[in-house]
Amino acid sequence: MSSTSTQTSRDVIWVHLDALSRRHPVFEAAPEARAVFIWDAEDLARRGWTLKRCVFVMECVEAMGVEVLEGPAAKILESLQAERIFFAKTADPALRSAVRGLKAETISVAARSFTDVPRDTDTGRFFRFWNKARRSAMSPTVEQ
Amino acid sequence: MVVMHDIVKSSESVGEAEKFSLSDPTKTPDNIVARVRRMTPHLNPADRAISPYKGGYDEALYALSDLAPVQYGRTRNHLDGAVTRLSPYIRHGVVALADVRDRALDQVSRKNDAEKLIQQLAWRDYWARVYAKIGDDIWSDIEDYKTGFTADSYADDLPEDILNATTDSAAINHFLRELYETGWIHNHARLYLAGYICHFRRIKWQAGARLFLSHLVDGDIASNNLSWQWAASTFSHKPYFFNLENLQTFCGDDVDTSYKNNKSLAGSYEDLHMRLFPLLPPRQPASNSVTNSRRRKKRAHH
Repeated sequence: MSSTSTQTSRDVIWVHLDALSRRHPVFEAAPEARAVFIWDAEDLARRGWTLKRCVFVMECVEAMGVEVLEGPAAKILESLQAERIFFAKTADPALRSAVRGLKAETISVAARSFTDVPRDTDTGRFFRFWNKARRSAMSPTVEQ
Repeated sequence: MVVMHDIVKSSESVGEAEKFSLSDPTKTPDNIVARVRRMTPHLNPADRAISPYKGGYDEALYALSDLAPVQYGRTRNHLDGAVTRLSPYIRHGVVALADVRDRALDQVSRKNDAEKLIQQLAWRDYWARVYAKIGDDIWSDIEDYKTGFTADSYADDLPEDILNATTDSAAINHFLRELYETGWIHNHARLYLAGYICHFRRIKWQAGARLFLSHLVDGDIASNNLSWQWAASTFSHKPYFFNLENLQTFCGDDVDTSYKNNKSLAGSYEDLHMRLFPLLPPRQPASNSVTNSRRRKKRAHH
């Protein structure tokens, strides 16, 4: 992750469906940045989400008090003319594709880790993973 | 980093009368619903259900304040057990797995008392790691079915009786209605539906996974699809199925588990195994296995 010491007013935090929280480390990485959530109706339609899912998301977003913009996420992000776009790390292909190819520098920030295991840990079956992850999973977070 | 302190402080300040409870969905402000409808044209006007789960960090804190790791470990498989109801907030990152883990450890005097809960949290971490590796292949069978059938033997789409919650099983209809109306069902009910759809009705797990993702307010593609694959047997050693007796053990009084209204689910595991998976070798009675195991141990002692 890039240093945050040279933040500019053209930094943007893209708040997305996988991290609807101001406590996510992405807000520590860019505390002065403009935070926006993009209501991408086309993406929601592709996901097939019902009204109750959409309402739950909107309640989370409203509780965060971030700016809400409407439209296709990639197009809106480009239109912000940001120098850097910070966002919570995600495995969601649709979310990842929204930041692919943007002119701005894109910086993904991971959530606080739950387990500490090597990247090549066997994930073929859960209990093989658990045997490796148990010690760190059962330990409280150490404050930095 | 202030998250955990924030949670502990906030939850300590929650009085007994303010403990977490699900919201009355009719009290969801009309302006939020109207705004969502205006901004989301694809929504069906006939789709009116609002979840009793209300979004937001304060709501997540209320749920966290009710965390009871010991009771969770003892009762989590029962539909009226002490489950956390945090999954919608975890799904959308309103709280992190680490927050819940830290709170759980804070609630117990012996670390092991929180292990069942933390292990369930670890399943989410595990599914996320698998998803990060396989990406869009999460919609494909990871392995072959271990049911004696190939994927071609399974129907592609859900039939009307499942979509309308009018199957021949009162319990299954109960779970489906709860899913459609509230957007949340207990994990055990999810397993029952997955076992029912995949094996009693022989429908592809993908159809059930899509149904869950459209309704569950905690619907997360990694946990959802891989759990469906686990039940289907395309990401496990054997298919998950259940019988009426199991439902009667775990469902409590709210669900109609009478024989009269759930005949298709009744039978011993051996009988159901033959009925659902006729191409597989017969399943050995569990009680015999235990008895044989005890006999072997006894012989070993002598």
